[in-house]
Amino acid sequence: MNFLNLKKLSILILLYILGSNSYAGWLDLNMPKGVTDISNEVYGLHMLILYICIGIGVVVFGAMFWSIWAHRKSRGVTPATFHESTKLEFIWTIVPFAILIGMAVPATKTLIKMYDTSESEIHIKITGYQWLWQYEYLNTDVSFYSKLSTPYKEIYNQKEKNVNYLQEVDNQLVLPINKKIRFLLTSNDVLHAWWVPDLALKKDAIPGYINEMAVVIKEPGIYRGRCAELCGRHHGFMPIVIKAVEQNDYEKWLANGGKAESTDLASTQK
Amino acid sequence: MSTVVKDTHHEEHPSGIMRWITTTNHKDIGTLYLWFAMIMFFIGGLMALVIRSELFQPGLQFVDPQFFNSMTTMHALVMIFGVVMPAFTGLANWMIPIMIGGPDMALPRMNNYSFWIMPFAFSMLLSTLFMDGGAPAGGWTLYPPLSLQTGDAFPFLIFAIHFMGLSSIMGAINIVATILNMRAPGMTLMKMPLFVWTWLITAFLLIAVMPVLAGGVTMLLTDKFFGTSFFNAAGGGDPVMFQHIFWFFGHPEVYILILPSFGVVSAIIPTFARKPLFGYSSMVYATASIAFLSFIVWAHHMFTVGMPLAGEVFFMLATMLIAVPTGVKVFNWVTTMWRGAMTFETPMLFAIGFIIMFTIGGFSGLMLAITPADFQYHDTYFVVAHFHYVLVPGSIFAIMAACYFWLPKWTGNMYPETLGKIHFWLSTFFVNLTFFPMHFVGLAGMPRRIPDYSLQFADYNMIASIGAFGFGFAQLIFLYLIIKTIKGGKKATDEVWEGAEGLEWTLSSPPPYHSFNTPPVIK
Amino acid sequence: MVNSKINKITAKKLFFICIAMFLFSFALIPLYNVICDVTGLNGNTSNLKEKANTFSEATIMESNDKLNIQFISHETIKNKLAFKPKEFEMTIVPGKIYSTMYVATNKSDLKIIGQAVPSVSPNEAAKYLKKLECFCFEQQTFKPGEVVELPLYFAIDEKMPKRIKTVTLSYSFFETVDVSKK
Repeated sequence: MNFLNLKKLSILILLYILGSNSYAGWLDLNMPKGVTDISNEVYGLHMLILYICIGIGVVVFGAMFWSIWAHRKSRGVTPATFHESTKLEFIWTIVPFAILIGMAVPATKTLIKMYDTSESEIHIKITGYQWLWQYEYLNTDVSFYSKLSTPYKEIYNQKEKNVNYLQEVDNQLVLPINKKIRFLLTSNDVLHAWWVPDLALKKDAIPGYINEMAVVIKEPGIYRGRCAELCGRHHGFMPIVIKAVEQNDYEKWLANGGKAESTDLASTQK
Repeated sequence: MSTVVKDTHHEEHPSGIMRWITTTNHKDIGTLYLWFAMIMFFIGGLMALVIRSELFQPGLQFVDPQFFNSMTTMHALVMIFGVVMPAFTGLANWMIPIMIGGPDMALPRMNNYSFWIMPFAFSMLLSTLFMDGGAPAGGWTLYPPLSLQTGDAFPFLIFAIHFMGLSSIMGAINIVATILNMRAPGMTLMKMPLFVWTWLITAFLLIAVMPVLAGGVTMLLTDKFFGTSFFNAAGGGDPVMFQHIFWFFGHPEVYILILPSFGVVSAIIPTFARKPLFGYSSMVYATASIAFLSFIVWAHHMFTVGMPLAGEVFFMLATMLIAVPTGVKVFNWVTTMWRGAMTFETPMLFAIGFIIMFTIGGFSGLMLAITPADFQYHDTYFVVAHFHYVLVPGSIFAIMAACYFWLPKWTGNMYPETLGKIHFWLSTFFVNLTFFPMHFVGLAGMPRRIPDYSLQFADYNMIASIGAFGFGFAQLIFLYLIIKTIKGGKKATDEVWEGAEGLEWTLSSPPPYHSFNTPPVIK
Repeated sequence: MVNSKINKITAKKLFFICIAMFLFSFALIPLYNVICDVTGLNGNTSNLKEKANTFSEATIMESNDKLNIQFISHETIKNKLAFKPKEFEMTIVPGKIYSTMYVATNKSDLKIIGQAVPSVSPNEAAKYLKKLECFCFEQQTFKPGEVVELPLYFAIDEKMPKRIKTVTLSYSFFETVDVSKK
């Protein structure tokens, strides 16, 4: 009976989890769809493999729970003695294999698209430091550092935390939408990884080496990311904030040396 | 678990503490390993609770971020090298000679050394907590250049790893020699219990990859102190090279941590289903192919380092392939249960819990193999959830299942069944409460190894922390239960379990100090 | 009973495998470098001087296989040394030799000894980028306040896949650390 009570309890807790979450909703439980074609494809792959896993899970666990329910000694069954079946073994080797191949094909297609950095119009070099980021708009004079702007008082619980706690920076990375942007990543000291979930971009920054990736952002907005590779004491405190704007706003911003010109650009939240 | 003092052979051996220090008896050494793992389990668990306390709420409350990083690093090293590996070695020491009808381990003297290196290595590792510059905080993966920023602790860390490696290699050599040379007449390889098979393969993996780890960390040491630049770009090295070496060790290592549990579960399920294991030979082949594949998938831990496209695709496909033999195993277990006559004593509960939750971990593993999606999962809490699902309700549950399964044999006493069941249900509930929400925070964008997080992750972290404390306290039941069973209890029969098959059940409970001085007759 | 000699032999054999695997871990280093040279795995270009006779001097551009080559730099000691490419981008034709310059300015009043480490992106392009003369072949010494122009002669192999249209060559300048002083 222990068993039943625990089940009830867990359902109650699950309801509590789903009900009380102030940021509730499926969106916060799942991978973001993002704002690029590739991030949408990645989301699609994620959901596809998730459903495949759930499907297999239902079949396997279903069989198992049926067996647990039906084939108990207390029901007075006599155990069968079979212990081999080449046919079964063959089937459950081949079927998963086929499913995997079916999965690998779309995954590889998406991967090829992700690796295509050709015909990029804007080239930005990102350098990781312990513990901030440097952005250089190549072939322009615009270059700046971007570091956490959350006040220490909030981190040490002396002040109430604002809604963008630990995901706000002093200088945002301003990018135009609908342009192919190529990032070149390197690091000044240890390994870092530059990750923005909404753009489905994550790559390591390695000292002495450069890595590249490309993106076309489809919607204007603020996108937040983080350093994803352990880089020492303040690894958790080097966020990334991207502000995606219309092409002409971007050009104005660039012409102004990377500083917001109009008040509406400056006043937007960090 | 201990005190097998009834010696039917009247052999001289010292008593008291000297018995344990000088022992060459496989049962004594097995007991030592298991207790060592138990102590380390609580030390590593305390570290986990430090981590979960800090993550209970956003903001920095209890520890400095550097110490937090030390905790994640040390928690991993202690749990992997100090708990799961010694516990499995302990089980191997206890059970393998008995299961194959041998008198003892092949190399008893070396067996003693390989155990006693462990406390030495771990004192060295844990002493770094009190050193200038703090304990290692670069992650258990020791990626340079960050790991080279470790303070005074660095050489101690490297030598501790060397000693742990040495101990596991010696243990593995001993196990291989035992299995190959000490079998009773008639015990052919394909008649061996699966636990013996999985350990044979595990031991070969250990022998193959622990030296590679030793080589890798030696290069770190010379990079730091002797001016070499294996991993230093300035001198023509490549930091990513270390990751290749590390994961060439690291991926087989994760199978070292799980293969023996396959053996344990393959012993328990047929016993309580009262039905022979389905597909014995396919289990052996599946284990061997998992071991083989483990050597060609290492780079799936480093999809984001910027490998060429062909490399990414190869490692994705190879990784997905591992799902096939692993699936075969799960299907075989379920089919073993099918149309059996099952009872659900504690070992069976843990074994079923293992199958379900290990499979959940396997599913998330399959998701992680999809390279484009891995770019989103990599180094997030989704990964943390994945490997804890395969290691805690995977390996740890299998070890607990094995303890419950063989405890009556080891001690001669039955453990208190109700308490065992309570332990199982509490553990299962809390382990899921801890690790299931981690999938969500990972997908929502929380990186791993961070001491503080932004507000949208707060709720799930709080739930995970509550779960972690619950799981931690539930383990005190396990400790109490084992001590209680050693001290006394209902006497166990020789067969212990109704459906038990295998040589260990032909011996008395507890077994004599020397098991099979005359080889048993194998049917 | 089982002969303990057999056990010792087995143990010895297994121990031998261990030693071999330990040595193998060190063999991985040259092996990795070979694999990188062949496949461009890590974007590291060979630091060896190429023979010039396989390439011709750049003349007028007529080929359709034009591609862009970009030069970027990174100095790990920003406060002491400025290290920049003279031009950011060149349009070139594979198989021809081109030259460009990096400029290093020692802003400190101390001597700086260091090494420039090349890296190429995309990684695949690394093995097709041939350097005929490069400041990265040897250590550089910059006197206090000195401004030095560092020449680079290079060519892109014609065998490079046509789909690669932009190649970035990056130099990271590291100060040589004297270990004995550490």
